[in-house]
Parts: sequence; C-alpha cells; structure tokens
Amino acid sequence: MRTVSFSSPDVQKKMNQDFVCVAVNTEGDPSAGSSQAHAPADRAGQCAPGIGNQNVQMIFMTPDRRIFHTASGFHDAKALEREMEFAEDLFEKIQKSPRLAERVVREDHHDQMIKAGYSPQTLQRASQLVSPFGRLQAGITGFPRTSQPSRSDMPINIFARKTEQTRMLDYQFSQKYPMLAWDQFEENPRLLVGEAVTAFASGNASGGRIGGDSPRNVSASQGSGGQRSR
Amino acid sequence: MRRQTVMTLLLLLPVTAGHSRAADQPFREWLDNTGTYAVRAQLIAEKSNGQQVTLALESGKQVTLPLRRLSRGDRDYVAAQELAPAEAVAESQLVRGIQWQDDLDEAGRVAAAGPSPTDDRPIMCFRALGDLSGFM
Repeated sequence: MRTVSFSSPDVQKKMNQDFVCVAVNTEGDPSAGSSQAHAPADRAGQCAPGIGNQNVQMIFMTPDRRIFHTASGFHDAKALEREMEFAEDLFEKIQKSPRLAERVVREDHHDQMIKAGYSPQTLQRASQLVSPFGRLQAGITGFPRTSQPSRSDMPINIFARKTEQTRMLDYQFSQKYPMLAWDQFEENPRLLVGEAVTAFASGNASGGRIGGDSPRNVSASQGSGGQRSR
Repeated sequence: MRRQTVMTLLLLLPVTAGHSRAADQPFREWLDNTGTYAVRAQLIAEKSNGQQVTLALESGKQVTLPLRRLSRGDRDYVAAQELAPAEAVAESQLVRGIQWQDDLDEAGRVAAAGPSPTDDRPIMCFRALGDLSGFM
C-alpha cells in the first residue's frame, strides 16, 4: 500500500485535506502476521484486495480516538478512496448526532454491505457468528471466536474468498464494537483481525522477514491477480 | 540556545485554507516568543486572517501555530512576505506526499484543533507491520 496506494496523488490529496494521518507499527504485536520485508524502493508485487488483513489495517477514528470504521488488508488507490469517502460521510453523521454514534455506525455499515450486494440474511448470520455481545462490557477476558460465514456464502476463488472474508471481519467488528476506544482495541487487536496469523509472501522483497516466526495460516499474495501489494 | 522544536510546545493545527507564501521560501531559524526554543523551517502559509502560520520542518513535516507564539523578529518577517494564491498550499503538500503525524496523541490534538467541533477531522490510522520509511 505504501508503494502503490499512498503514492496516488488523489489519495494523498484526500488524506491530507480530509484526515489527520498517523502510522502505527505493529511489529512485535502477537496479532500481527509476518511478511517478507520490503524497502520503499522495492518493486510492488501483485496483491488481491483484502489480503494481509493481519498485517495492515486502516482504522478511522474520531479525534478522541474512538473507532468508527476499519478497512483491513490491502486496498488499491480507488478502493482506498471509497473507504475514505465512506468514513468521511460517517464521521459527519457522528458529529451531528454524537449520542447516536453507535447506532449510526452499525446502520451505515449494514447499509454499505447491502449496497455491495450482501443479503440481509447473510449479514444477520455473520453477526451471529461472532461471540456474544456482552463480551466487551464484561472486560474482554479472552479472544473472541471471530468465525467466518459459511463457505457457501463465499466465492470459489481463494483470493476472492479472502477478500470477502476480510470484508466480513470488518463488518462484524463494526456491528459488535461500534465506537470502540483505541486503547481497548490495542489491548486486543484480534477483535478485528481474528485469531489467524498470516504470512505475506512476495517475490520482490529486498529484506528478510518481518513479524512473527510461526505463521499458522498462509495468505500468499503473489499472482493473486490485478492488484499490487504495499 | 537550545535547539528544540517550537512546535512541540504549541498547538498543532492542520493546513487548510488561507494565503500561501512563495514556494521557494528559504529555510531559516525560527525563534519562539520566549526566546527559548528555535527550529529551522520554511514558511509555507498563513491563515485565520494572519493569526496562524504554517511552517515546514526540514523533515518535511508541516505544523501550524499561532503567530503570537513567534518572536517579534519572526512576526515581522512573516508580515514582510508577499502573498501567493492559497492553492499553492495544496501543491506544496502534494510534493511532500502525505502529512504523517508523529504519534496518535499528536494526531488527536491536530484532529480536534479546529475552531469548533464541527471543524474536527477524523483520524486515519495506518496500522501496519513495519516502518513507513523503512522495511514494511
């Protein structure tokens, strides 16, 4: 994303004008995956949308650091612009009705998914797959089981399936933890990224590896069609 | 004289609109109104009817601060510069790419630094494995 999406003049302009941007390095965080290490000058590899959701997340917050939108995994410039536009509209609504913020977050994300073609039944099923709603209020004593929708809801193509899975995890997070405080999120990022630990592979890396040593699941990025990583 | 950024002590505000100075402004030493802190930076813009100025540090980071927090000499220097179209601000920002804040605390301050809550901006946090300017 650094090499491809953030170098887009349109993305840069929108980030600078409409958002206050900050980068957080998750190196050392057990919820982060692992990746081949790319230098800024490395050539970008191919990547499908949503790939690497353990390794990269765009997290949109209010100035008092409450999370109202997330976009996990790789997003190309156009996809990132769409996420920023959604976040901008949602932030405006939150500003107008701060007391209704949680409801607005849930409803807007639900509407976004409906517009994207998901059925209400699929979304309801996805919402029920996450752990009980009272977990957060109870103090988050363990990692939630962020299950995925059934395979029948997912595309056959493995990369398209991963894209959908990541999108669904973002949706589930919005429904379960609307306006979650950043500090609470940082105590347990698996609320968003799930329990898997992915390894991100690319053939164009000039460094060694970065992140965890023992990935349990592997999300290969190379040759995944059309998109580029970093 | 201690070389420390004036801006760490001051309110950080985003660059939005206003009058931009010429793009070829030189880097120079800026002194705060107490004479204690100095920073080397380039004048980028003034806004809020001349009540605030935006400086670009040598690192490329931009900060906006109240004009009153600058030394008398620096305020005179700002007043002596020629105005340029406000659009130059956006162009200048693009040349430097994305304005990344140093950390979330700073991002929160900048995001809430508008004159009223309706002027607040959302924070966009790029949470990623690796260093933006290094290996990622």
